[in-house]
Amino acid sequence: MSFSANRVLRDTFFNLWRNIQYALAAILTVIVSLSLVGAALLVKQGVANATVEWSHGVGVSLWMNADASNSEVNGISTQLKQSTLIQSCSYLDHNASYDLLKKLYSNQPVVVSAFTINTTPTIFNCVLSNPNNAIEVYNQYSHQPGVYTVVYPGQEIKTMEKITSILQIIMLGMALLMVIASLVLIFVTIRMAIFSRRREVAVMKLVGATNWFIRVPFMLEGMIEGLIGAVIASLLVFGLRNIMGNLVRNTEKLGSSAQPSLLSATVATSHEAIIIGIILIISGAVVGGIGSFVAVRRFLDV
Amino acid sequence: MIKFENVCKSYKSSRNKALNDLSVEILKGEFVFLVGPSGSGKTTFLRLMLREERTDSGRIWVGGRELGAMSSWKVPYYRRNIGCVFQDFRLLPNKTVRQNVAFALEVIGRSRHVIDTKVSQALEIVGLGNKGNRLPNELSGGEQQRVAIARAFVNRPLILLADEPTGNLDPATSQGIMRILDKINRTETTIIMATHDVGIVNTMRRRVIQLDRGSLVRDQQRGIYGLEESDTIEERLTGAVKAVTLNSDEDELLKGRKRRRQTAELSHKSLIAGFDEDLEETE
Ligand SMILES: Nc1ncnc2c1ncn2[C@@H]1O[C@H](COP(=O)(O)OP(=O)(O)OP(=O)(O)O)[C@@H](O)[C@H]1O
Ligand SMILES: [Mg+2]
Repeated sequence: MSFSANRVLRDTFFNLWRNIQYALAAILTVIVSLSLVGAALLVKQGVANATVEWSHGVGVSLWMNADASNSEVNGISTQLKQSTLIQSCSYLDHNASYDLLKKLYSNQPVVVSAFTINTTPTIFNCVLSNPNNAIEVYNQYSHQPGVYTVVYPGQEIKTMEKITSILQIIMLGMALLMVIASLVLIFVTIRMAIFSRRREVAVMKLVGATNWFIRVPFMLEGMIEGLIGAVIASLLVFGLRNIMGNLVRNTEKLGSSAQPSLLSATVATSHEAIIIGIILIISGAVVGGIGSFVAVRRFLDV
Repeated sequence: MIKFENVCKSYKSSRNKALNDLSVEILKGEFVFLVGPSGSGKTTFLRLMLREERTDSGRIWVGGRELGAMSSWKVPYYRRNIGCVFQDFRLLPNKTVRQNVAFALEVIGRSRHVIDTKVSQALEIVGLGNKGNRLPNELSGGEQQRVAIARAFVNRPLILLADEPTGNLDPATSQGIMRILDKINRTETTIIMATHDVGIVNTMRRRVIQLDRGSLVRDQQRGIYGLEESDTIEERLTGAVKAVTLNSDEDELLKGRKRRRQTAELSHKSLIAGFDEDLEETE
């Protein structure tokens, strides 16, 4: 058994080496296509993160001071209920807003550790009767006693969604074309490999080597090309995530942004990036497997 | 051992039948020459036996198995019982003689130990024991063909198919090849050899099956390449009838083989005894 596994691996890498120009071309296209897929997934995940709590209906959020008194909170609550600018509100108490904080900053534990349940501001999330009222609400409430700040990210999210969804479509479209290119290149590579070993293959068939014995090294070759490309692509996607994360952190330090959580939420967490990496690696193996399987079916039949 | 029953075969790209209603039976241990003009269907006959091609109609049995009914995953295992030699040798140029022969066993998953002993034996049989480390292009044509025979025989097949194995060789070298095939035949290996070589067929005097445009026109024991001018159609037919009766008379055939075996060159005797043991062991 080990004798045969040895043979398969030796054959596979020997083929790869003999076919190195084609193999490199195939691996490069796999890298490009899967990096695009990965980047698109990263953006998609970022937007999903940003919108997960700040969903479409939410117009503004009133952040209370963490130490605001009950009467201050009740006063604001009553005003909000009576206001014609506002349709409805939900209130996040200390526990709920701390949970939200943990979720939004799950990739920055330093931020989370700076807060406790009692030092986390409570939040009113309000739906506006008209989206254009946001500024008016801001002016009316931001200087009331007990209010820390008023944030109105709704419209920005919408614009961001629009831009990123176009971006995503473009990226996925390009990725799809590149995936097709990788499939074709892997197919061609394996066809070349089969062609350059046609004499050996003919002898193998003649002396009764099984179909799988003949096919496996070629299929493995395609899968390994896909895998190498995919691993490099996932590393690139990881790097991209870190660059995005650093960028966001730097802008946050520079500007006195009113909505820090929104920006940083657009960066996928490293946990999510790992999942994206796994998806890419599986896709790489699948693309390699399909490309080589088709070639093997087409050029190696009994 | 081998039986063709009303076999018809035509290829997609040509209108004429490559084999037309061919029925013939070959017994275990026979040596058969397949003759006939170019395009008469000799190679097609061999390809059908290897199940590289399938019949349009009719049936082929080999060793009790009907090839049409054999599922394709079994074909490789079936082929391990059949050795093949071709006019163009088909050796792998980047492997040494030893590696070429060993390759046939490696790809069917034999162990290193078995491979080493069997390859050495096979190279001894074809008289290349001392040239195992040469590359094919460092050998003469005759030597290359002997490597090909060693590769075909190394797994001790029940049947050896040879398609014009002497087609590229001069008469003296061809004689050498025929001596080896004859030696292999004495190990009860059935041999079917397609050939255009008049001299070889006429000196060996073995069974001759002649095809013409896909049909059987002659089946003759101890036959010669072509019939003499005087042969009439009736004589050809009686020849065929005789051949059939001879065929079915297995006893006589076996007796004949025993006699031949006794007259075999002494120097080969020990080797051949070795074969027989091996055959029993593998079967
Ligand atoms: N792969 C193929 N495709 C189409 N026609 C074929 C194919 N192989 C053989 N034929 C045709 O089948 C017929 C028999 O061919 P075959 O090769 O069996 O003849 P042969 O007796 O071996 O000839 P030769 O002595 O020249 O080798 C011929 O008419 C040939 O043209
Ligand atoms: Mg032929």
